[in-house]
Amino acid sequence: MRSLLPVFPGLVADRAGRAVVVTTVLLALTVPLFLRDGSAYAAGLSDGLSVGGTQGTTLAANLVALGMALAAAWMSDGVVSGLRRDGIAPLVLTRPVPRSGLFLARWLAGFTALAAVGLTIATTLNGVWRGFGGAGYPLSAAGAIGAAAVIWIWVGSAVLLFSSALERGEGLAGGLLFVLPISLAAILPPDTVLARVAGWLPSQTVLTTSRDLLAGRAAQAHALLAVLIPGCLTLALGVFVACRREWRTTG
Amino acid sequence: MIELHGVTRRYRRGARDRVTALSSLDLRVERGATLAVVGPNGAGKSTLFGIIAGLVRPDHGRVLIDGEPALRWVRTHGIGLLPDRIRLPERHTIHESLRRLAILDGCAGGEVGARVGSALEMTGLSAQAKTRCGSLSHGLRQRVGIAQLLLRPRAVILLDEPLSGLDPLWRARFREILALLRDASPGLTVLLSSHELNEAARLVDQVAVIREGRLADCFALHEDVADFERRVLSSLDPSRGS
Repeated sequence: MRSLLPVFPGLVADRAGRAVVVTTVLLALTVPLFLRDGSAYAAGLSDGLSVGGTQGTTLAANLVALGMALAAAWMSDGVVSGLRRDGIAPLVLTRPVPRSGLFLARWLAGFTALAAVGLTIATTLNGVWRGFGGAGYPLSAAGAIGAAAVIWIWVGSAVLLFSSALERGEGLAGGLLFVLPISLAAILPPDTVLARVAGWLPSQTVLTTSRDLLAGRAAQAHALLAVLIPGCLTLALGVFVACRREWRTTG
Repeated sequence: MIELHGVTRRYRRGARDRVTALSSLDLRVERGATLAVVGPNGAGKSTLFGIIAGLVRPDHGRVLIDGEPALRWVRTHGIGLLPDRIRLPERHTIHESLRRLAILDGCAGGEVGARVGSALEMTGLSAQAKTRCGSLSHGLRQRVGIAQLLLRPRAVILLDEPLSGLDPLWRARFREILALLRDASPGLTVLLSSHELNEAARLVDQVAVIREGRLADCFALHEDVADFERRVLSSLDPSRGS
């Protein structure tokens, strides 16, 4: 692992271009929302963030979550399977590098890039909100940044593992885990059976909890459990599938 | 020493169709040998190299390097591989690519620059060091592939069609580089595949002929090139006679 440390910054830098694109797009989508609600709060016209408060903003929040999931999937770009897809695996895997170290280094590099994106977005949004709304935001600055970043990183790291597990996996991994259920919930009228089923899926629970946290409402215990339990199971399954695939196909 | 015992590898082609790339192949390559692996397209040469390099897992059989399972040996010592169709990170420059590979090779921080510089110089790529790999011609990629073999001394090198894409000048230069590598690493074992028998005959001291995934012939190269060609061709097509 020590031998991989010098290449680690390079591995992170490989994802920098995508990270900038993702950050820009997501900020472009969310900053107007925070500006509007912050200004309204400052003018005494609202009680705080209205994410999820109306049909329009619910749809916007769903689309942002959809964008986050897609972006995380796009950024993840495989762990070791990406090496094979790019055709550079023969040059890397024939060098005296432990497979586990390589896997860990590449996953950590992806994770670091995702964390940087998550923290940048959370910090900017918090700054926008505080700049326009000031006091009255129920979460502390650190709490708001942390809540948003943790949710993003959770989504991103799970997708990262699954994209390693799938041969051409970015969009497919994101789709399987998050995009489809969120899309269903966003598009279908809330009283349909499919929308209600989608509401029970982990991705939708993540979305609901993140909206609660961003809106300054304490997430309910059962909702947190519903996020944590499937989350841990998803991560464990992701690790298992990814490792199995990487080790099986690279010897 | 590299030993293959009863190595079989099949690939799936379509839903039901399976192709046998190697079938119960036995081969023994002594330490320090330079062996040409020749055979028609699809004979299993690249699969053989992939298996020795630990990139392809055989369905049956064992591969040993110095008495150790090949995969474990490769992970410990590393192996030099020039793939058939070399691909490099498109956005990286030649220098960046080689630098990273040198680090993965375990070169200490201080010597990375010197090793990369030396490899670039030996392969005539110093002037193109800042060129992005995505814009390189096949011949230049091949030279980068040769350069990455020079980043550290190796005990085993596998060269899959090393001469393809090289102009006559660089073919001659490649022979010189191979000689330098042999001098720098006593006991270096080299396996190379080539369709160009004349060129191969100038580089190797042994020949293994593979036909339909099996070892059709294996011999030391003492005779002149014309006899060598005759023997390879009759191994590949017994109806030609000897």
